[in-house]
Amino acid sequence: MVIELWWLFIVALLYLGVLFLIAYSADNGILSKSLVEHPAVYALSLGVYATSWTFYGSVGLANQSGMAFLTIYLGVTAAFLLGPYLLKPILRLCSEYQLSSVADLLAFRYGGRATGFAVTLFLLVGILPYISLQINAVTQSIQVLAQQAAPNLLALAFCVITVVFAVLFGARHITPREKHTGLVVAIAFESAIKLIALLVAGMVAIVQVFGGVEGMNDWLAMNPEQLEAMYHPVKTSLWSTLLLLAFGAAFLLPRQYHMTFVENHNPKALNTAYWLFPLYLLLLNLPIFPILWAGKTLGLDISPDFYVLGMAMSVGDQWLALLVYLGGLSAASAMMIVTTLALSYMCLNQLLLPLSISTNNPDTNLYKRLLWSKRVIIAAIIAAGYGFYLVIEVNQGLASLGLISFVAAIQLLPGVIGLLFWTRATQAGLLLGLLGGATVWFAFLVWPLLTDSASITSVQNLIGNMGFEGVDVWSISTFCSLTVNCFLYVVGSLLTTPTNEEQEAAQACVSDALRPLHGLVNTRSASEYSAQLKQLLGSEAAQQEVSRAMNDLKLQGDHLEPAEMRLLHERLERNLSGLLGPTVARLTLRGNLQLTQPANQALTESLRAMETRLETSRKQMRGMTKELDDLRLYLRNVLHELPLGVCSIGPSDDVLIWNQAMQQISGIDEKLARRSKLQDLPAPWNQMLKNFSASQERHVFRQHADLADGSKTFNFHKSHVNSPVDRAEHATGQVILVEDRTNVDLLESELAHSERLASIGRLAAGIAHEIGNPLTGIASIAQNLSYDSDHNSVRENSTDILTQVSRINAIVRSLLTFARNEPSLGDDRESVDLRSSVEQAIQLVSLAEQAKSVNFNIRLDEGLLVHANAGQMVQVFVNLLNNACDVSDAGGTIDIEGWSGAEVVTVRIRDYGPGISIDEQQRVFEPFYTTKAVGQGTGLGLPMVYSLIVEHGGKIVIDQSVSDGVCFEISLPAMSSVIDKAG
Amino acid sequence: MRRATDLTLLTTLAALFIFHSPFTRWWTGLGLPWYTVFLLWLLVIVLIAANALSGGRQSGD
Repeated sequence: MVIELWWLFIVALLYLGVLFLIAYSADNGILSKSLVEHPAVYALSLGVYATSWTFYGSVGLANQSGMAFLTIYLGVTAAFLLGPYLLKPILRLCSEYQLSSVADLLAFRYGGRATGFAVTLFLLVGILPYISLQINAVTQSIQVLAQQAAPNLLALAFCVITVVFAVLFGARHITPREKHTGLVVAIAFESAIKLIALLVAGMVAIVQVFGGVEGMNDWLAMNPEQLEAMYHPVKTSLWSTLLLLAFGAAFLLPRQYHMTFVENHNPKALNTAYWLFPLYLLLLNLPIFPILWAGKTLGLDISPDFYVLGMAMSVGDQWLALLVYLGGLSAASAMMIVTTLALSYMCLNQLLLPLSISTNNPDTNLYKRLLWSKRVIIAAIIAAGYGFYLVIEVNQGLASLGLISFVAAIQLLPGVIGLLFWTRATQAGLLLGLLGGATVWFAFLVWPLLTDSASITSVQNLIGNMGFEGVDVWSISTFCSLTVNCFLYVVGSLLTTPTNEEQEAAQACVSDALRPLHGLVNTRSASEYSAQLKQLLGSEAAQQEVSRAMNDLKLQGDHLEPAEMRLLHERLERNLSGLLGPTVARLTLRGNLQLTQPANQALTESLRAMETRLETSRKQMRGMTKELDDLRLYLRNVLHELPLGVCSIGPSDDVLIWNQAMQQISGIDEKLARRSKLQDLPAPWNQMLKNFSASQERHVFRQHADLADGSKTFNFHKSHVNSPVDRAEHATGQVILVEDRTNVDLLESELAHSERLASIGRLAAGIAHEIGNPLTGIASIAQNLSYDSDHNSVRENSTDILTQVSRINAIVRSLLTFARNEPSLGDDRESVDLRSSVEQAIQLVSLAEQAKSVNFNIRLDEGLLVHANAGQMVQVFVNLLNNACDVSDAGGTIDIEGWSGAEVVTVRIRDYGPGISIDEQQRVFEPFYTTKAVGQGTGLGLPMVYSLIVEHGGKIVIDQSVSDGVCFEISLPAMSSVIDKAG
Repeated sequence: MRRATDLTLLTTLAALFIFHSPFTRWWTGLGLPWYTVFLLWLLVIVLIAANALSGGRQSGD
């Protein structure tokens, strides 16, 4: 059976058309998001690992090395088994620092241009044979199906279509933060096609060639050497070597790194990939042995690499042959597309941009330039692979070319393992190791391939002659190259000292804990920053990148505080790392925006920046970190809510903490304060705090200040705070406590005044008492005089004397009652007639000059009995009537009315003064609040009334319906209701 | 998290024992059916899956 060449071309074209359609549908939302972003799609896309080498070459390798071919997949399983400790940290680094290739990853950790350059160049050389292998596999598969040599034009057409696909769906976005969804779905689809094709071929092999499982078992029973050959390689060195090579290739090969880390849109999808991807590989390899044995049974006269195609042709199933052909096409195209894409990121970031970024014109659009550069690089890499395919004589089988690339990729393993676990490693160590390993790799595996006279077989013979009998070329080359690499890596690292940059990157790699940012950015505004970046990135890209970084950090406004500028700088470095690679990003930002690092200021800004980062990173915290942050927040809240003004300052007088009480005391907003130095704060706080901070005194008491809301008094206390990182250094900051003593002073003054009044009261009570005795005598004498005299005039005079004595008595009684100002305990309460209390109060108030000219309009019912302390009730009315008198004009009227209800007794006292506003009405019962002029009122009268009424179970309100003057309404429980409740 | 670590450790040891130890030479010399290696491989994958799924649940993923 032969399939026409043109027919194969049409099928390939149609298949690639379907791929275009799938990728387009995924990119444009035609396929549902849940499907496109399903973890299974991600896991399937990792199937790009299975190239034409796997698809065709596995049968060849199984024939040559038996079960050892499975180690190529068992090694991957081992890498995914250790995924939580190996893949997850790399994924975190990749997404956090936007590292788009393994070269970026190593350049980020080890720094410098040389690292990225060396890794990229090495991988480029190492992977090119692999690309040519894919082209070779496609042309050879066509040769098997069409029974004629495929013209180079066909291979060229395949390359062109691959370039178009890679450009359209892999080079649409310039930054890795925008994932190529269409590409991922298309690659997943290709993986599914590969699996289906091999499984169907395996089924056909068992059912049609052997006549079922029993038939195959019978064939194996008749050919025991086949099973022996299958198991034998486990006992050879190749088994261990291939396991190690595959372990490294699982995440070091550019295409694997790209699909696993760069195109990952959800870190949780990796959890599914840990088991689903190895399962995919298992299923993919399940049919390999049946196909191999079927090929042998059929006696196929072709290379075992293409037994799968030969078997399909031999059983005469054209559709199966086409399906297998499509599977091979999928394997080759997927590998080429993703590999060139991954290499294009590397070449752009590590080879092209470091050389050309300085030549960028501010007027050019950097994004377009990068995008087109990447597209050209993709085309160039595939062209190079095609050239390699044309030049090289492939006589080693598919597996050999694949393994050469594997041994190349494994040279990156020491560097990558080191970046995850060894902070002491340096760039010099990495480069030395890489150079040594690459040299051995080139000498053992590449040189023989490039020369006519030598071959890998000849190297094998050479190794045998050197005494390494029974050791295959792959094992010896892997062992030698890795040994040299590791030795030079470790020794080189130990002999050199890591730079600050390397140390910072090393810490970032081994731990996901947040680290303080060092240094300060010279610029002070986003626009200034953007203007400086414009020189290198062009105006459009500079503006977009700065605004994107500000959006990421949720920063607003142009003028930013130093800590915010430092965060912006760091975010920009990460974003630009995704755009230009870490090397160029660092060069761009650090070359033009030098970080200043005065020791005393760096700590301040570092703390501020750290705090801002902690606020935005709480979601990422786990375990001890989260508990520590909870504790930090608790302590911060304690400081913030402390009812004492707390102001913490750095060594350069930058305000670090400005708590709630400090905001209330000073009236200065926390945000404003934290952006300022002490001397920049609004007056008079700038002077007060600056002077106190500079003084030697640790405490300053009763310092007066004239503020907008009046004169206030403060106590100041301070303490020095040392740096938590370097205790040996001098003090790096201060914490200042501010205590507002204004109210306390006023209260103390009022208490002293009250004491004085109480003394006067006691004096008055004593005098009143002393007056009482002579008055009794006067009253007796006047009465006797009246009885003893017959003269009317004398009797009238004695009656007048008695009247006046009675008046004096009433006044003295009132004075005594008011002077007894003890707190009410409840047991001193009695039945009090409020009418009597009001009358006594009026008599007292009338003693004042102003009250004498005021008319009291009394309309009180009889029997306003309440259960109360008589003296306190008098005091209540004295205070209210005093206030009413104070606001009444001469000759004015004060209405006093009262009535008794079933439950309460109500008394209303109304004046016709200027009244008080609604706002003031809400505050008049607050202590020390007064509407009177300074010195005229204490602000304690009404609060005292309020507390006495409340103590008696009553309430006092201001009748808001009265607009002319003020009307206080007092309600107290009636005596009858108190007796009812008691009964 | 600790349970996931324990399971990973156990699975790694099991995988090493099966595929890269003197025991590997022993069982491959027994003349077992050709698909034995796939069954053992599947066993390791099941352990990885159990670990990944339980680890995911524990960490709230």
